[in-house]
Amino acid sequence: MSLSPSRRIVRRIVRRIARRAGVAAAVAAVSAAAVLAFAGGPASAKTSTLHFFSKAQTDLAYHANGQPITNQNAQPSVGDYFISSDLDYVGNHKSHAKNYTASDNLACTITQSSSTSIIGICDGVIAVGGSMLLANHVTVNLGSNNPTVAINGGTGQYKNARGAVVTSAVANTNNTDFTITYTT
Amino acid sequence: MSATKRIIVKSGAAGTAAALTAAALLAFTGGTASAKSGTLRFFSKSVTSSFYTANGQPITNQNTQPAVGDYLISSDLDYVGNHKSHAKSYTATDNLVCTISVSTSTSIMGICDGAIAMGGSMLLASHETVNFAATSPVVPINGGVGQFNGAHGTVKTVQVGNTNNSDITVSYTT
Repeated sequence: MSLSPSRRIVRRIVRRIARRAGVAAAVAAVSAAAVLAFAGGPASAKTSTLHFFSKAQTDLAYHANGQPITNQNAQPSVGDYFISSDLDYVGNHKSHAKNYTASDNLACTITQSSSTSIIGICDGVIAVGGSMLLANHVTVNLGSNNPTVAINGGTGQYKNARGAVVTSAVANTNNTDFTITYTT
Repeated sequence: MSATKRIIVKSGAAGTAAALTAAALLAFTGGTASAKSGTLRFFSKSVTSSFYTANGQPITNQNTQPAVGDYLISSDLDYVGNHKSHAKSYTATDNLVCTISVSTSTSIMGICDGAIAMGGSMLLASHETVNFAATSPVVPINGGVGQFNGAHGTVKTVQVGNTNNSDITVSYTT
């Protein structure tokens, strides 16, 4: 039996949500660390564009009441949330550092869910050393082909960071290549 | 102290303290972050503490009773030790974002996402419920990344006088 177009979109989106959202945040953090390592540049640079490979560590999805979501084909409901974390390696999925130098975590709560649109409010963190790039309470269009996560803060050497993380899923995995552009 | 101010101080300190504590204790004891469990004590110095309405407008009147949907963002630099005696430089940072889910004259609850960053790894409090009305709020640690993969534990905070800073104790197991 073939799925309706809207059903196919939903299935694709649901599967992508945890992977892409998690990857985006994680990738951002990893990318920052990786690029800095590659370039040998200091973290105090005012503006940087970074490229990283983000390897999924956990991808968890829950109903609003905290019960795990086991049917990944189900349309997400408002209040559902997911948590995704990754280890980040400088480079990309084809060529990257042997060891991770950053990690990331993204927690998103679904605020809008229809057959054509899934929107979430997300809190994301990318840890590089003892500092962090932050995406605090940002709205993310989880239904887009290439979700963008806004960077709206930072701690330590990334204090007052602003920027964005753009992700590209690595086919048939939960991993991602991503690019993060930020200014401090 | 107003309800809003108390929330910012308590929640920010809790999240930050946890992260700092872990880093600080490790430094103090000379132990490694790969230890399976530990109890850590830190001084958490506030960097940012902001409160917003659900639509993103800053809340400037800290005497206002928070509404459901309002949210706060708090970040800190974490120094091993406590407010009386601590390391000269921070070795960790933390961030906590909480959205108010219950707000009455007797109860203020929030759903919080917190992180403590140390050396490219993190202790995490993801989507945890925190009781801001408690005298000493406790933030559960329910995950971690990197060397803290699978961490569970708690962060307990004690506000330092009339400041936004805190001494914290974080207990975790990996």
